Amino acid sequence: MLLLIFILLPIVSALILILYERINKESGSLITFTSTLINLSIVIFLFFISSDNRIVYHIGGWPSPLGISLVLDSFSLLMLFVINLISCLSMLYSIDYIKHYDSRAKFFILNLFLIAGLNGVVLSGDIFNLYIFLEIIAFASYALIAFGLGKEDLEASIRYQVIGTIGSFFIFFGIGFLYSVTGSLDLADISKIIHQHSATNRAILFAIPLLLFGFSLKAALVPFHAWLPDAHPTAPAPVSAMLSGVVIKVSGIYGIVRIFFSVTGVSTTLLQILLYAGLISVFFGAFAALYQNDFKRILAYSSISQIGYIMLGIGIGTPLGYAGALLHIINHAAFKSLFFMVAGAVNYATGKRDTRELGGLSKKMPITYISSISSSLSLAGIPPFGGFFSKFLILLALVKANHLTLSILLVISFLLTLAYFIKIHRRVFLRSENSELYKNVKEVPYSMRIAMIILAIICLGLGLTFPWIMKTFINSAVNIFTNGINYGNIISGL
Amino acid sequence: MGTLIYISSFLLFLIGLYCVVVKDNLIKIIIGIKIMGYGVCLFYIMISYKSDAIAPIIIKGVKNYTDPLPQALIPAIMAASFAAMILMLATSIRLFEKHKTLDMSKIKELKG
Repeated sequence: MLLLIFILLPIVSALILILYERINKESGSLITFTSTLINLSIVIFLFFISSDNRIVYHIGGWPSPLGISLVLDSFSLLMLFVINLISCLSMLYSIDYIKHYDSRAKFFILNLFLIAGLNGVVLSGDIFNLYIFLEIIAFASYALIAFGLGKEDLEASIRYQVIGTIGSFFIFFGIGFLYSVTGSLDLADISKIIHQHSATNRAILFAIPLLLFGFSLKAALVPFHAWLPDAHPTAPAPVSAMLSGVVIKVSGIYGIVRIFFSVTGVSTTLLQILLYAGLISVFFGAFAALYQNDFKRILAYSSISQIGYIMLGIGIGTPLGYAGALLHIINHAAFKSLFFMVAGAVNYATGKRDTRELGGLSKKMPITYISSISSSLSLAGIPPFGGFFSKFLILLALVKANHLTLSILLVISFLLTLAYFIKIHRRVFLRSENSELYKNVKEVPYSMRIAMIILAIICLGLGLTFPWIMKTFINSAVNIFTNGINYGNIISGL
Repeated sequence: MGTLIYISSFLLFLIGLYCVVVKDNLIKIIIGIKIMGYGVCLFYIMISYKSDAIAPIIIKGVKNYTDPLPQALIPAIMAASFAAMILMLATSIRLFEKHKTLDMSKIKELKG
């Protein structure tokens, strides 16, 4: 019952807001923030009540293969925590940020549907519902990217719409092949049937590339990345924080892990593909970020690079690699959302996004500057910030799995990451030649400051509490990867 | 004959994909996406087919029924692809107002 709230609460508050919008077009910040805060507190509550973090809720009381079920396991719980933390903070941030846009109620309605879709994907125990929630995420983000209605916004949105719809159709085609073999749509049931009867069925071997293509399009792995550097920077800053921090992970990486690890089972070829696609993404994103001048565009390319680290960690195929990847999911969500919020704050205060025109903001905007330092130290992997531990775990896993060349390349990529964040800092905050242009620049309003400070503390805290996080959250989530195909037997017994 | 119909639905999907990749006009791209959607829908209809089976209504003495589930999924996917098309058309109207063209090769504010 508790699981249903995650999906229903945002949808119900969106419906209330749709009705209330007729009275007041600029309302909605309070109800949105409250419902995300309630969701966040339920996630934290779930961490404490469930001993093995495994809950199954059958909607309407119908038993599992027939009815629709919501499934929570430790990996879902981890993703649910990331989603609700980032969405709560980005809604807090947008209370003040969104004040210079018109029809704010529509912004909050779309965001509520986005959050409902995100929660739905990680909780769904049913492959068709997973697809429907993916579509809800996609539509909400298409509309949110075009929210400014400028030339750039519309162009980025239409490109994302075309590419995203193609990805969705590929996923749907793959689901059709899985259904044609197993005759079931329940994830646990499909997993059981595949491993009892038809492990090497040719239709399933055909479904795997289709699903991989669709989910890699959603995750922006390198051959399929072209939409991301347009779509993420043009959206309003809190939406960019959600898109880069959460959406690509939920609709891309969660899909890949859930479908391939838990349902169809992974082969070594698939792991190799993920490993090398991840490595190419790491380098492509880092090099492209070095050549950009737009603040948010640097961050968007950096997202491609960091998603590459996560894929690389998964592709190594050892428990240590999985742990690194999972830790990097949390860390990347924290520091990249914070960095997009910083970029939004700089844009809010000065009206500029080009790093060549900015400079000397460190004295004018101290809180923005401090949060920027926290997020970029985490991004560059400097101890004791959180990013260090996740990157170190991935490197350690590579060395232990005898990929020595790859680990040397990975160290080079760490240096590239350091280079582009130093470039941002020097140009935006430290260089003082342009400072007389910005005499009237003030620190951003309170709700934006509070959101940034909280995330900055989380970036540091994730590093300081690293052993505790590993013990309580990561180790049980790694079991989902290593148990793999036993998912069906574990879940269908509940 | 049985495999031919699967191949043709996949072919329809690929024709749509070709249209999306090759054409520059935004309306033609949207038509291509719809063709892809119809290919997938046709595939779903075909996987519920069984030879010598009747419609899924319980009659005494008949044991071979076609699968009713994929047909029930089709309305959901039709609604989803319809919503996608509406959003794309709305965006292209706005784009046409700004650029006075629907040619994607001429709409290049972003570097990609």
